[in-house]
Amino acid sequence: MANNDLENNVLLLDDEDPDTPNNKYLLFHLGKEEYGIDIAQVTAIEELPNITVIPDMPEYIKGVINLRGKVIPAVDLRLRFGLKEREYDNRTCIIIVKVKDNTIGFIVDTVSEVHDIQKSNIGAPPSFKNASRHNQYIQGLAKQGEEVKILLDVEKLISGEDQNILNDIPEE
Amino acid sequence: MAKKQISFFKSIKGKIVIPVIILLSILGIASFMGISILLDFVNTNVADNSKKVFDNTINERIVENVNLVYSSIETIGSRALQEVAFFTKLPEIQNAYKIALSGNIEDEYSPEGQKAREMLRVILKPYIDGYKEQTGRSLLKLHFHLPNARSIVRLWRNGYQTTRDGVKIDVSDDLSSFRNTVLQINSGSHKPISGIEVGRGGFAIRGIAPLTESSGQHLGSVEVLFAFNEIFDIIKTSDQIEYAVYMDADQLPIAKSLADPKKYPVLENTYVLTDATNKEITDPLVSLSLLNNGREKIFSEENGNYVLSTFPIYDFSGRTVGVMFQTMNIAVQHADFAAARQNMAKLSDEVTSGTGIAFLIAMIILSVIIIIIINKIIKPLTILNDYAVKIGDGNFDIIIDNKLSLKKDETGVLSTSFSRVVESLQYKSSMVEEVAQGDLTADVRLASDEDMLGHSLVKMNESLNSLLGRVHNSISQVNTGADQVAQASQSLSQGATESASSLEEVSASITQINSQSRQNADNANEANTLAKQAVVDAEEGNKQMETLRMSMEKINSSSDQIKKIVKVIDDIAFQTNLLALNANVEAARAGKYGKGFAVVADEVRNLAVRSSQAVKETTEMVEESIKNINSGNKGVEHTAKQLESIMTGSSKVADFLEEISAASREQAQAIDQITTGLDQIDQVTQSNTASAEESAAAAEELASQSTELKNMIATFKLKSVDYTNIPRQIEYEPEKAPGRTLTLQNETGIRQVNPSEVITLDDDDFDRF
Repeated sequence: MANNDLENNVLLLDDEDPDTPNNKYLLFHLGKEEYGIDIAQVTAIEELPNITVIPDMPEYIKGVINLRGKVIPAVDLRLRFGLKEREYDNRTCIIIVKVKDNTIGFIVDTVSEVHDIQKSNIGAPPSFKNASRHNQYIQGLAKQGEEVKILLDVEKLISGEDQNILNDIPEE
Repeated sequence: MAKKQISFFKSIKGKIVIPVIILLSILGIASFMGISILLDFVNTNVADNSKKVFDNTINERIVENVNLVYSSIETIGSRALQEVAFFTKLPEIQNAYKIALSGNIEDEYSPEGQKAREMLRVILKPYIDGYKEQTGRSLLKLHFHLPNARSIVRLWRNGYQTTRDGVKIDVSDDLSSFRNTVLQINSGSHKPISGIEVGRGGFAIRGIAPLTESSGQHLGSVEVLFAFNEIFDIIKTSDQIEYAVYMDADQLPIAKSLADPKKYPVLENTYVLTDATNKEITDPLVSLSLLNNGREKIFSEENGNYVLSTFPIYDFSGRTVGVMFQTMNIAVQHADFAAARQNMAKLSDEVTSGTGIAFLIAMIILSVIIIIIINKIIKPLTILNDYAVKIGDGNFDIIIDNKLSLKKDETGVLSTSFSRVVESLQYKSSMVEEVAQGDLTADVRLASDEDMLGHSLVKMNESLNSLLGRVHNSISQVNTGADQVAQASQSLSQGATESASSLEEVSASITQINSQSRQNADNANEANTLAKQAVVDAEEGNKQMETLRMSMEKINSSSDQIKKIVKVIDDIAFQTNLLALNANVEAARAGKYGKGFAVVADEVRNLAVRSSQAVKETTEMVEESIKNINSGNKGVEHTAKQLESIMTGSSKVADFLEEISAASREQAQAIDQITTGLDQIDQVTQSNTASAEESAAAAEELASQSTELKNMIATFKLKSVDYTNIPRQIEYEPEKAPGRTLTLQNETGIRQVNPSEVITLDDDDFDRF
């Protein structure tokens, strides 16, 4: 417990501002719902470039993109979350994230803003009895006014078999 | 009246004499012609009949002659057969045959044959000599044949049988090639044969009999032949008949002796003249067609004075082998016949002329008798006619001669009747004279029930009585009528004046209507002009609408441009937003050093968001304006349609107004005509007034004239007749004193009228104007 307090103090010492980077989330839309990703894990936000289809992949992996010379796998988050597929338009964006040397692109309906969310406003994820392990990637639910934003844990999102698959794709 | 001159043709004398004479002439001419036609008919008939009889006689003679020819051929044939019969059973002959038959009979030089031949010559010499001596004929032509149809001996040839190449030889020459009779008798039945057969010398009449031994053995045959011309002695019965014999030319190969055409001329390669009784006559008359016609049966024709006939010559077997030609001179018969006909014609001419003269004399006598009789009849008629002429002239002062009436015939009866006529006429003229004096009281005596003139006189008397009575009555009526006319005329005059004033009022009303309808027309014209102007205005409005619509379309396209531009701005705002977010990410990564940068990025992002918002609003506004333009467009189209319907409506209104204007003008014209009509009515009314006054005056005059008439009628003496019985509607009052009566009587037929009933001027009467 003491360690935890210490750590908090250090941070407070480093910066008096309570708005630590840890509290900044990039918000994006999938349908009506708004999701959030910790901004520290985000490398870039891009308009959707051409996608090269890779055969024999799960449906949600749309293929790979060439982003300034780097080949990055592109995951359709709607399909990944088992939502209805939607045709891409000029507002469709790809969010490039980097987790433990893995770079990956999430295709989302559109990005909205970078928003500060106080920790006090973040609730635990729902724990249903029969909840599958697939939705363990939900970090928490942020209340903001009347709305609720689903905060995602990117690390968990790309762990497991997904990771293996992704590892098969050469990066360079 | 002058006595009428009757032409002879129209007079009774003419009417009887001319037809009788014409009738007699026709009768005479007809009888004369009848007799001559009858005579002609008898003449021709007799001529025809006698010609037929003549022809029949000739034909009969020809048939007789032909039969004589055939019977003489038969006679000579049977004579030959009789003669040959003597030699058939002589033992010496049979012995000679036996010798001949013992040798080779096929050898013509057989010595046995030669021996037999010589024997036969010796044996038969006495027969031949006897025959010659007794008959005076040159030779008995006796011919013996062997059974194989070879000649054993010809007894009329002296020591030879035949001639070959100019050499006389004594052989048993062969006959089988042409002597059918010999072949026939030596083979088969061995029956005797007689008839014509063609031999070397042409036709020969033969009798041929078999030589048979007592044992029945056939030895050969024997034959006697005569020349064909033997029959000439029998058949040439008169100088007028001549014969010629023609053999068929195809028999010439058999009849070799006739092969000399100079002696025996050939006709057209068909017939050979073998014999003739008189060549000078027959030769020029014969012809091929004549001979051909006679091949089957007797044929004959007339040629000038000759009757030519041909008929067939049959051989023993009945075959036609030639034709015989016969000429008969009938010149004498012809001459007799012609003389008889001439006599006949002369006789008929005499009969004809005799009859003509007899008829002429009879006619003249008849005509004279008729004229005398007619004159007797006509004389009294002429006298009666003179009386009738006087009556016709109106002079009844006649005394008829008694002599005429005493006559016992039709003219006497006519005279008596004529006397009655005159008496009757004299009586009636005296009656008429009385009427002329004005005395209508006398009674007329009728001559009989059929007395037409008498009846007429009675009727005239009655009619005059009645008529004058009625005239009297009528004059009274006229008087009354005249008064009524005067009164009616006055009423009429008054009525006319009233109608004149009414007319003036009508005239005034019409004038007012006239000016109103003209005003109407003018107004309609003006309205028409206005309606036309409305059409023009509506058209102009339509054009303006079009311009407006085009402007709006331009705005629409501009809006599209604006939408594109706004889209571009929106894209830029989005990208700016992305950039701002990326900046934010970078700033976060920089940690507390990126804080300021993050603020700037946020600001940029805010700007981007605001511009995006502005873009959204602009887009909405542009879309709103496009929507408005579209609805405006619809409004414009609607307005254009309405303007168009205004246009059509206005032009219709203009048309209607024009029609109204035209109708009003016509109305005005019609009213003008009405006015003219009213003027005329006015004139008529005025002249009616004047006429009514005049007729009143005339009625007065009429009344005074009728009084005078009444006085004049009183001079007639009338029978006292009850006039009330006369079928007439008017009552007659003879006792009433003459004078004017003013009482109105409905029986006169004149009705008192109210003038307003006569002239009724309703509005309906003006309809036709």
